[in-house]
Amino acid sequence: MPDLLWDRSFAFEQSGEDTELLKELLDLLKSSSLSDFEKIKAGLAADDGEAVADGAHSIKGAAASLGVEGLRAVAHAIEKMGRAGQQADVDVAELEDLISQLDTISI
Amino acid sequence: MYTPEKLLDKFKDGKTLPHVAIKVTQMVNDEDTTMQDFEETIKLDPILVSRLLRLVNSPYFALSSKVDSIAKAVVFVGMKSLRNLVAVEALRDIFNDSDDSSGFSRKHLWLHSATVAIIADMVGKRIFGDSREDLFLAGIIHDIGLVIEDQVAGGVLREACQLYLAGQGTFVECEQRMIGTDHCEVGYRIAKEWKMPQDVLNAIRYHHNPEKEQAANSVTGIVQLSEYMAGKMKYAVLPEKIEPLSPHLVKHVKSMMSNYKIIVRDLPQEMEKAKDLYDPEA
Amino acid sequence: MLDFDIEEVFADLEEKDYREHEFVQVLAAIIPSFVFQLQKRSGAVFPSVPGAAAVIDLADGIFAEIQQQGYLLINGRGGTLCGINVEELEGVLFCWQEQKEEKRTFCDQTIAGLIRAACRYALMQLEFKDVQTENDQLSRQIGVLKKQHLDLVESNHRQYMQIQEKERHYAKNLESEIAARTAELRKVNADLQQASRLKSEFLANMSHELRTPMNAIIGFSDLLTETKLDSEQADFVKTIKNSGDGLLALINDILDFAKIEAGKLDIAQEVFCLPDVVENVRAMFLKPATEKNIHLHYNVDDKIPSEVIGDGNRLKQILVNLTGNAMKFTEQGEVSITVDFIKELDSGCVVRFLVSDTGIGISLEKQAGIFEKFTQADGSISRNYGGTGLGLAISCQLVELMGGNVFLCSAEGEGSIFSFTVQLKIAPSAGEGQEATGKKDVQDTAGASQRKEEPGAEQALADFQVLLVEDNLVNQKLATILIKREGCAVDIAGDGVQALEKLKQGVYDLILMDIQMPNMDGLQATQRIRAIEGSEEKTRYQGLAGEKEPVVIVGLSAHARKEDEEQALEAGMNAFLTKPIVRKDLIVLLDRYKAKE
Repeated sequence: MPDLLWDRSFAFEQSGEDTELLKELLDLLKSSSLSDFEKIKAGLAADDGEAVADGAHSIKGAAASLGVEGLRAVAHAIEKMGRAGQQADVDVAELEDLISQLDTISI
Repeated sequence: MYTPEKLLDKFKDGKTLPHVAIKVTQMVNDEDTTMQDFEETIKLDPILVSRLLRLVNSPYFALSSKVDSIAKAVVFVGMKSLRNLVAVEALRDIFNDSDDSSGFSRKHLWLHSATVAIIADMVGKRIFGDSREDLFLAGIIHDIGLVIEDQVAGGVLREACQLYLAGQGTFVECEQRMIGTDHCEVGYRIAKEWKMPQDVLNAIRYHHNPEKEQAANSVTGIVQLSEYMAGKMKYAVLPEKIEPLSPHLVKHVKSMMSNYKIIVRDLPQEMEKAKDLYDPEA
Repeated sequence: MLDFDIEEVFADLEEKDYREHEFVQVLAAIIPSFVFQLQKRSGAVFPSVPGAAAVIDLADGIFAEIQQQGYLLINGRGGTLCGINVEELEGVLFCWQEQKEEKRTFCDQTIAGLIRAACRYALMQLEFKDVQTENDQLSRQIGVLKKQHLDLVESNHRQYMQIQEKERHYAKNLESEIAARTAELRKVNADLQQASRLKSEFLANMSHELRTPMNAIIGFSDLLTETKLDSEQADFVKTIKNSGDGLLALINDILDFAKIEAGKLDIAQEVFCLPDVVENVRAMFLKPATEKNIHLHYNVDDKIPSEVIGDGNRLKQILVNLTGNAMKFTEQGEVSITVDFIKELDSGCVVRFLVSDTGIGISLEKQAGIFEKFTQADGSISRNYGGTGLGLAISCQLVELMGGNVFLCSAEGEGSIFSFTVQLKIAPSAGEGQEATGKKDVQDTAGASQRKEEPGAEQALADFQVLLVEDNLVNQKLATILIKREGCAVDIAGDGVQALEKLKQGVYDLILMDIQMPNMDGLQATQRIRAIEGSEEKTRYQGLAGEKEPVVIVGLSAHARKEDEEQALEAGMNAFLTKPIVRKDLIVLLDRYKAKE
């Protein structure tokens, strides 16, 4: 199973030690990642490398801001493949997994 | 017995021509000398400046306006005239150093030299239309050798005089015999050191030389003539004896006799005008 | 003096009776014509008589004399004798003897007359000849004088030309010298101006460069104190803060000093409340005074209007410096600040400030040195009491800039009184409301961090408007919160197109532009904005119209390569931040651009 590799202290720092805010942000991360995931799937269906890359890019950015390194790395990989036109080789299983793991983050 | 060099060396230990006078003489010969250089050099001796200005304003130059600076003097009478005046002032001091009347008087010599100078100047101008200021200078300095001899070997010089008066040859021969040299040679050498012009140097050296025929209009010739005339007018060095004039000079005089008579006639007047220059009491 | 006979002079040279000889010669020259006349009138015929030979006087007595003495006595000039050779007459005599008696008498008389005439004539000739000679001589003399004159003129002219040449040469040299000097001076001047400019720029830069990190240090320490800290941490933070404050004070001093030196320090003319200033100063030192057990008094003269026009901040600076010194050098007793009304002026008054203490005092010798820059009374003081020594020098300069002077009255061991006077104008109407541009809200906190040049610092925070252009929701939220925390206002746009829309209606101080966005990415949007700013289109964009400077755009990107940064700058961005947006960076960025306001 892939690991989220969450950098808790970083996330805390970013949210200014505000636990409430952090919770809010993590929720936001989850929801935005889900919608971005849909975009990726649509892109794969349409064999649209750019669309795949854009969706992955969005997830990557958000994950990075909150220190979720695992999610970021996987999203980054998918983005690269999408940009290179290799979307056919993309396997979204890992990504899906990690996104679902976001629920389990305990602050 | 003396060589000219020996006499000179001994003389220079004592009195000599002031530095300013020597410098001025050199400067006059140099074409590039400016009025300012001249003025600055003379100004080094303020007493000289005042004496010069006095002379320039005297009847001798008969200027219409008063000259109050050396620069003005240069403009009105020229550098050569000023050089002569500087020489006159300088020589006056040397000549009048002592007064010895035992057969040889420096004071008398000074008056003789002044007379010769004035006559030479007159002859040059009136007979030959010659504007050279060197004639005056030659006249005043031609017997400087005697002063040196008197200074260094006074006794021996007197002996030479005695010999000459006793008819034992020409004056120069007598000098040679007693001193070892003569006043022409000695005078020539020291005038050379003082950077006098060549014509003047020749006049000093040859003014007693009958062999070398001097053109009547040369400086030497005119000096010889003037010396003769001065002698005849009772201003010889040794008043009792006057050496004769060389034949061709005689010829010249004869041909211009009436002119020379006028010169002789006018001489007292000219002497009076030039009184300030040679008067030892001034 | 000349005692001689003129005639004697050339006697040796002349032939005997030279004069007579001359006369005879003249006579002889004219005789042939007279003889001819004689012939004509008498009818006698004489043979021609050669050369200088004959004068014939056949009048009686005269001839007898010829025979007897061999002379013919004729009145020559000056009573001289004129002699003729008798033999020479023979030929003539002989001819005469042949003539008849009657003719003889006639001839005698005629001849006598003729001869007398001839003699007179000859004499005249001689005189004429003399005059001629004299004349010739005079001519020669004149000729000589002329020549001498010409020589003089020529020599004088030559001298003149030489002097002219010298002067011309000198002038030319002078000219080129002057030109060279002027060029030198111009260069030196340019260099100096350049140096001055560089100095000013340096000042400006330094001013900013130094304060920025200082503000950060102090700001963060402040923020830190607001967080949960244990006592040890709190202690550490306090130390950091104090050091920061001290350092900032030092930096401000140095910058002030540099400004004064460069002549770039301006004294403000603003309305402020004088008593407030003094009260603030006292408040500053109340705690340390109490700790040291020193009484801190102050008194402001009633006669002084409370609202005055001047530079309140600088005045406070001076008072703080003087009071600080007083506090520093006093172990016990009191320090008091007194403000007196001295006299009224046209539209203001002269006010005197006194800061006195019962401290260690300053000896006379050291008093003069006190006011010099960089010195304190002696080296040991800076070690014992601290300080750069600049404070007093700056205070003096400030007072001088305000038109006054600082005076010192002190004696060793007996305390000191520092005093200075300034001219203050009276505010037009006392108790005017607070205007954002005029009134200073003089804060009662320790001086250092409050020394911002911008008026109404708090307002600036609220006024600062940021436009956040970011498509990612998480990032949007995070950035928004961070920005709001810093007291700025935030507007959000999801991409470049939306950003431009926002710019049509709103005015922003700063745009944070994500580079990677859909529809129109950050670079494109920036280029578009810059293009609009440079054209007439900008009138349609409220956010871009009427700004003196282009709006500040900061790029945000996940990529941190140098090319990315260059690309961003090339597109027209002012700065570049890498993602993830870290709180610290954002704060620094906001601070930077806020301070520029």
